[in-house]
Amino acid sequence: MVPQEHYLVLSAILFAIGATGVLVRRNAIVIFMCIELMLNAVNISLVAFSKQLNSMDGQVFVFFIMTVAAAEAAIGLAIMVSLFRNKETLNVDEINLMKW
Amino acid sequence: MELILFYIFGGIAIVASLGLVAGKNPVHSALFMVVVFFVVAALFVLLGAEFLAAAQILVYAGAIMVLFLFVIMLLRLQKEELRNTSRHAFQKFFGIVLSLVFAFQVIMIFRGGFFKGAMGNFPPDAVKGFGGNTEAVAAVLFTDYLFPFELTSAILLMAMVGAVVLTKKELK
Repeated sequence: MVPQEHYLVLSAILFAIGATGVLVRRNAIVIFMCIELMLNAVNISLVAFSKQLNSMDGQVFVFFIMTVAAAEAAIGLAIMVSLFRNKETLNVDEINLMKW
Repeated sequence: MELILFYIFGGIAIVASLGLVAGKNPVHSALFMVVVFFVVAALFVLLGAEFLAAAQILVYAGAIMVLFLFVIMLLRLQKEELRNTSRHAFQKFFGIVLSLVFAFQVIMIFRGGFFKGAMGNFPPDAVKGFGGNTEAVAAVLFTDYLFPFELTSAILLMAMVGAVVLTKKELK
């Protein structure tokens, strides 16, 4: 029997690693993968709460998050393909259309 | 036994996600991401959410990662990362410090352990009575959450149309 706090701490660590990636990396696709990592970290804590509270609602939420993540991946990667076609780069420092 | 498995999987998850963030080559990052997805699926099994573990592997490791690898290899990004034109010298430092502060704060909150709430209707025995985790999820999903479930189909349809429109060469 694993205490619930263990799962929550693991989830916090994974979320922080994902946030670090978003802040530090310059490649748009890697930033995107870090966002998926953060979504996964949140999923872990939702399922942990769902187990602790004897409820299925958390698992249903995770199901919805997976759906939104799949849609987000499809749209985001499509945006990156068209961005690469226009700017020839995916480095977020060089994609500075908006000046401020 | 369960605790040992949790520590093994948790350790793999942390190491693989560090590899994802630190890797220079986007393809390596994507492969580390697959490891993280599989380990998270294993953690779902430990938590008794077998349906979500299967969905995690099918949706994330099966569909999303293939999409990522496909785009990475299509766009030949290898030389992108080598150019490394970071104009913000302190960005790495501040990013890491901010995330450490964030993780520390959240862990301190979780250590308090004051997360109590109204108990739901699905203790382990009731889940067994339904016939398993998948049936129990379905019983909630298709009654209380029927309308959001229908909305997800609209989201997926919009994503499909949007992806086609965005990657089209030119719109007529």
